[in-house]
Amino acid sequence: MVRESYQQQLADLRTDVRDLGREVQQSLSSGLTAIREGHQEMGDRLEEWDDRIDARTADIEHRCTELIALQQPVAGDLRQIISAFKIATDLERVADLAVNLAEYAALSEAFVLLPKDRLLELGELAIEMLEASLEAFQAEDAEKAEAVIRRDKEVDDGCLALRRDVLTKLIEQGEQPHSSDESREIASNTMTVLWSIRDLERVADHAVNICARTIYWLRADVSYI
Amino acid sequence: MTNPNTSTTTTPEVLLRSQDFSLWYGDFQAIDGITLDIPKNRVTAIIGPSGCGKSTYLRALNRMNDLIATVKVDGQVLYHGQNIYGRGVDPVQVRRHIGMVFQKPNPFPKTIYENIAFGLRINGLNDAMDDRVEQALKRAALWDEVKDNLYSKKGLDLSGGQQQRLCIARALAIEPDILLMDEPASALDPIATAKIEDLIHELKQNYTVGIVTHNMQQAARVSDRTAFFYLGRLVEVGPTTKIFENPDEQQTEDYVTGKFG
Repeated sequence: MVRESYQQQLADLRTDVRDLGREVQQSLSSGLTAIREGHQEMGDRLEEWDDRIDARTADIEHRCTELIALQQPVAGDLRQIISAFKIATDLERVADLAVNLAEYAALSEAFVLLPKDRLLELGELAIEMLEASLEAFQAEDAEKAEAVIRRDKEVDDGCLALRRDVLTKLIEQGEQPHSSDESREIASNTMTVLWSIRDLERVADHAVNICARTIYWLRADVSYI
Repeated sequence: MTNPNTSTTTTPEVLLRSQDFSLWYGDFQAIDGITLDIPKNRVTAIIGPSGCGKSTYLRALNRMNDLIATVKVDGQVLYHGQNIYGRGVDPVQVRRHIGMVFQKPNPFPKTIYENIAFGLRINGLNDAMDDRVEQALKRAALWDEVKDNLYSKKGLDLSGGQQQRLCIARALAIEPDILLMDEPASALDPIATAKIEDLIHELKQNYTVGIVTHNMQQAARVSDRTAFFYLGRLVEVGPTTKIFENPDEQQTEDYVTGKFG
């Protein structure tokens, strides 16, 4: 009976990671929607949401620690718990990035340097990767996880292209005379846009981490970590 | 201080090797064709469910099963390359080099000093007796606790953990190469168990240790290599980290994760 309860606790842990992942996905979608629609208050709403996500992450970590202390798991069970612990941390960080993105929405003028649609296109790709990484974890599908990891290059290439475009736009603007206020605004917009690109790149990196941990759990293969 | 001879990165010399070794109790085959190396200055743990043959196997490594009339063996157990079951090999001499510590401490009903000295005398080691007794008790990490009562206290007056260390000291006194331990801490409380585990860790600097344990966490803590036995067969052997993190065989994974046993 004790072992049955232990197996149930492992199953519950997987379910909770999946549910946390769903919530984080929604949070990320909201962050991108805020940018798309110029939603000024979304940042504050996501902050509150983020607190709940932090609490759920802490709960998962606590239960992982408890399982290790009380059940002394080994082999596949231990890898699963370690992976759940790490994946929860990745998800919690994605939620932080979602808050950042929503906060950039309040600085909508920043996107004069970069069409929002191009950023949002990249955002959709990052969300797809996050979704697929969580599906791979839930379905215990290492091949699917590998496929997600292979897509990371698409995001990296997309981010590089966007950065180049921002730079081109900056050079164009630099050829025109600016007051000091205008220069300050250009600098501020540049930082905001570059941060938004970087944050989406980080979302994809966290999706890759989730896949790497899933592969480690299922195959004891550390090559992607 | 780390003994370079015990580094896990080098390939150690194999001190004891069973080769296609089988053992029967009458018609019942308890061990089925086990080939296993016990490397020098390493702790090799044998794990497996009750009745898998792990204790029988350990006892076979110093011919302890000879005492059971119905036992029949096949294959070889090579100690320094010589088959201990070979014609003309004296089992008493085998046990002189390959010591054994049992699950339940079994000190003699004599003083602490005599518990050690007795084995020395019957093995003809009569010189420097006091020094030999002291060294054995020090190597078993018991000296400080008993040095003032060597002649006044009986072995049976000690605590369970101390009795077990006394038995280890008794085994070490005759200076064996190999120490076999059959569930050495299963009858002890956690503190006494920790002392035995620390001692095993220390002993591998100078001895080769084979340990049978039901406690998988103990195997994980104290051993360098772990062998998993099931139904008298060796399912898998490898570095302990590998067996407990990523075993090759599903049966091993199922056992160490508690899915059967």
